[in-house]
Amino acid sequence: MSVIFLLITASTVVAGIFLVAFIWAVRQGQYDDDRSHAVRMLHDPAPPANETPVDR
Amino acid sequence: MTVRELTKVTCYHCGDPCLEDCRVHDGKDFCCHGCEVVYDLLNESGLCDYYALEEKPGVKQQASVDEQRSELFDIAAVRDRMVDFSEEGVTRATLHIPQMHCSSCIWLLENLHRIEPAIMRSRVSFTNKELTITFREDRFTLPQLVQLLRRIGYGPQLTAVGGKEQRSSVPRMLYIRLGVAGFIFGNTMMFSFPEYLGSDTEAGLRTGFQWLTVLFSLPVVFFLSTDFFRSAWAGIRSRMVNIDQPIALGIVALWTRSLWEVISGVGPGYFDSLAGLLFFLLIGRWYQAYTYRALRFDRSLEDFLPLVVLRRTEEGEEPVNVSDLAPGDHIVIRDQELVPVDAVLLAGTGHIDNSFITGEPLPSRKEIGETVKAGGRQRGAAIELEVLSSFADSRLKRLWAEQASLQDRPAMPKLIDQVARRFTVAVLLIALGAGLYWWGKDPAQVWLVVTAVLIVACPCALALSMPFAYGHTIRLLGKKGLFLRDAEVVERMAHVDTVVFDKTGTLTAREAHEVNWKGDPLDANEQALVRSLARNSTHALSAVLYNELKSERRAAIEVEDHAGLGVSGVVDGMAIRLGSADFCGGGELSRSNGEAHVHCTINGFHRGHFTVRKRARTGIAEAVMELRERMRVSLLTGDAQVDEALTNAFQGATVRTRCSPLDKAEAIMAEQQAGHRVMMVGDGLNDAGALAQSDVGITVTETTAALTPASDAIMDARAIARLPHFLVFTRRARRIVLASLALSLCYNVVGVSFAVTGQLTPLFAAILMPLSSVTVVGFVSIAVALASRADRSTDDHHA
Repeated sequence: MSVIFLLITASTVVAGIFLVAFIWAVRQGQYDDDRSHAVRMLHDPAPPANETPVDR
Repeated sequence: MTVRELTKVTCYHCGDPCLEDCRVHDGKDFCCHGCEVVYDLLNESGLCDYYALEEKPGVKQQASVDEQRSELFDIAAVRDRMVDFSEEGVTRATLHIPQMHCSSCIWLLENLHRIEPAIMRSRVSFTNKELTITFREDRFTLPQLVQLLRRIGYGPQLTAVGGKEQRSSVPRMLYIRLGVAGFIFGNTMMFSFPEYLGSDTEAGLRTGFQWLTVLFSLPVVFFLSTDFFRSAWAGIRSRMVNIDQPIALGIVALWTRSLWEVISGVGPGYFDSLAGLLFFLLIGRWYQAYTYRALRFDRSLEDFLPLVVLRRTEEGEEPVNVSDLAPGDHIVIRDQELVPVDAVLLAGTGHIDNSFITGEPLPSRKEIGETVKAGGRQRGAAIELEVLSSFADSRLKRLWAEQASLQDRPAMPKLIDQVARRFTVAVLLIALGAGLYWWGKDPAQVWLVVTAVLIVACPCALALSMPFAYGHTIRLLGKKGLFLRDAEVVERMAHVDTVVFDKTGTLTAREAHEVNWKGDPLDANEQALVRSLARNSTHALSAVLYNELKSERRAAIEVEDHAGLGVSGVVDGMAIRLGSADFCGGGELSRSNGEAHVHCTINGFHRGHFTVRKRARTGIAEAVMELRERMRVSLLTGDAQVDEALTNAFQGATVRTRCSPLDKAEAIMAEQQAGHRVMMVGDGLNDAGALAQSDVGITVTETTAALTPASDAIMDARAIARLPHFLVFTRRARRIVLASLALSLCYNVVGVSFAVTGQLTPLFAAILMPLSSVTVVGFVSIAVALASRADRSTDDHHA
C-alpha cells in the first residue's frame, strides 16, 4: 500500500510545479491585462524587421 | 433624418458616415482628409492588416492643432511622468492612450516599429490602456513619438499619464492567493477522499493523509486568510461589526477544531471545508476587484488642466509648469487649450468655451483687456494673456476646494453591515445557548458543539451574494452606458426618491443645436452659399451652421475673418457676410437666454438672421415624464431661463434658475434635510459641489475618455434617456440581494440545526459549504441577468 504514498507525493509535486509556474506568471504581469494576450496570439508575425518597405 | 439617407457610405478608416466631404482614395471611401492621411501612412508602411483585423477600426482624426503641443512633452515635469528609464540613448516610456478600443488598435500600436525604425519595441496593456514603448531617443525624440501617435489617431493623454500607483487592474496578490487556494482546496479534497468513502482504509494511510491536510492548512490560515483577519480586527478596534468577523471566527473555529481532532486522533477534521471556504471567499474578492477595475473616479484638479503652458518672455516662448506661473507672466493659449489661471487678455480675440465649468457649449467672446477665468477653453486663433493670480489662488482651485469640503456626506449604513451585525449576534447567542445546554447534559460535547456552530454558521454564501449581485449589476449597467464607482452606489441608487438635473450640457447636448432662420426665406442655392462661407470660418457658430444646414458645398474666395464681427467672402460671385447685427447691417434684436444670432447679408442686402439654440438630448422629455410618475424631479440651472424643449417636461416641477454652484449644493442639502434621497445628474465643474452633496452624483459625458468632475457614477450622454430604467434595475438588484441573503440564511439555519444537535460530520460540512455558495452565486447571477433583460424589453418598447 506504500506505493500510494509514492503516487500521492509525485502528484502533489507535479501540482506544486504548476502552482509555482502560475505564481511566476502572475508576478511576470501576465494577469495584469486579460485582453491583449488573447488578441496578440491571433496576429500574424511581422515580416523581418530589417526589410524596408517597398517604394511606390 | 436626412443624415440617415447619407450614411450608405462609411469611412474605410474610422467607420463614420461619409457626408458630402466624402473622398475616394485608393478605391476606398474616407470621411475626411485626416482619415485618408492615416490610411496612406499605414499603407506605405505595409500595415494594412490593421483594417483586416476589425472592420473600420480607426479613430477619427480630431483637430490637428494638438500637434503643436508635442514639444511640451520634452519638459522635465512631463517627461518624468512617462519615462520609466533612459540610458545610452535608449528610452522606455509608458503612455496612457484612452483611444485604444479593439484588436486592430493593439496590432497597430505593437507594430509601430514598422513605421519608425527607431522604435525598438512597443507593448500594449489593454486593461490599463497603456502603451509601453522602447525607442532610440538619440534618433527619435519623445515629442516626435507623441506626434507620430497623434498622426495615427492615438495621441497619448498628457494630463492623466498612467503611473504605477494609478493601475486599475486586479492586484497580483489576489491572483496568487486564488491560485494557492485552488491548489490547496483540490489537494485537500483528494486527501480527504478515504474519509468520505468509509472506514475500510488502512489506519496508517489515514493518519498520513490527515497530517498532509494539516500541513496544507497552514498556508490557508497564515497566508490566505490574513485579509479577513485584518478586516475583522479593524472592525473590532473601531467597535464596528462587519461581515469579516463571523468569517474570521469561522476560520479560527474550523482550524483549531480540525487540528484538535487530528492531534487527539478523534477524526479527520474539516480541513477540506476550510480550504473550500477560502477558495470561494477569494473568488468573491476577485470578482469584486474585477468589476471595479475599469474606471478611475477620484480625480484631482491637476488632472483636468494642462501641466504646462507656454510662457512668453523677452527671449521667446518657453514651456513652464502651470504651478510655476506668477502674476504678471505672459502666457500663450492656442486653439483648444485650457486657460489654467485667471488672466487678462492682451492680444487676439478670445472665444472662450466654458463648458468644462458651466456646461454652456457656445463660446463667449472676450476682447482685449477683459478677464478670462480659469477653466475656459480657447476656440480659435492663439491668444496672449497676462496672468492675474497664481494657480493656487485661481477661481478654479477655489471651486475645487469648495467641492472637496462638501465631500463628507451622511454615510448610509451598508446593507451587508446591517445584516452582519444581527447575524454575528445571533451566531454568538446560538453558540452560547447550545454550549450551556450541553454543559448540563454532557460537558464533553460542549467544545464540539460550540465549534460546530461557529463553523457551520460561517457566512460564506452571505459574503458572496453581495459582490456577485452588485458586481453583475455594475457590469450590466456599464454595458448600457452607466459606470458606477462601487457596489455601494447601487444601494444608494435603489433608495433614491428625488432626481435633480442640471440643464446645460446635461439635458441639452453639447454639440447638437437647433438652427432657425428668421427673415426673408433663403432658397436652396442661398443656403448653399451661406454654408460654404461658414465652412471657412473657425468660429463655433459657423461650425454649427455648417453642420446643421444640409446643402452642397462650394468654393469660397476672398474669405476674411473679421475678429469679433463675423466673416465675409465671395461664393459663386455673390458677396456674403455672416456675423453680428452691426457687421451685417441689421438691427440688434433682443435675444432670449441660451440663444445666439447670426445675421446674414447677401450682396449687400440684410436678409435676416439665424437663431442658434441648444437642443435637448433625444428622449429626455419622455424620460423626465416617466421619472415624474414615480419620484420627485427638479431642475437647477445657472441660466436665466429654461429652454422651450424642456418646459413641457418640467411643467409643475421645481425649477430653479440662476443657480450658482453653491446654490445647487444648498438646494440638494435642503432636499436631504427634508428626508429625501437625492440623485444629482450634472456635467460641469459647476455641478461638482452638488454632485458631491447628493446621495448619488452622476456625471454625464459625451466621450467616456473625457475628464469629468469626481462623482459616484459616469453616464454616457446617449444613455441618459434610460435613467428611469437604471433606477428600476438597481431597485430590483437590491431585492435580489435581499432574496439571496434569505437563501443563504436558510442554509445556515439547516447547518446550525445539525450543529447544535452534535451531528455535523466532516462530509456534511464539506458538501453544505460549497453547495450553499454555488447555489447563492448561481441564483444572483441568473436573477440579475433576468432583471436586466426585463428592462431591455421596456427599452425597446420606448425606442
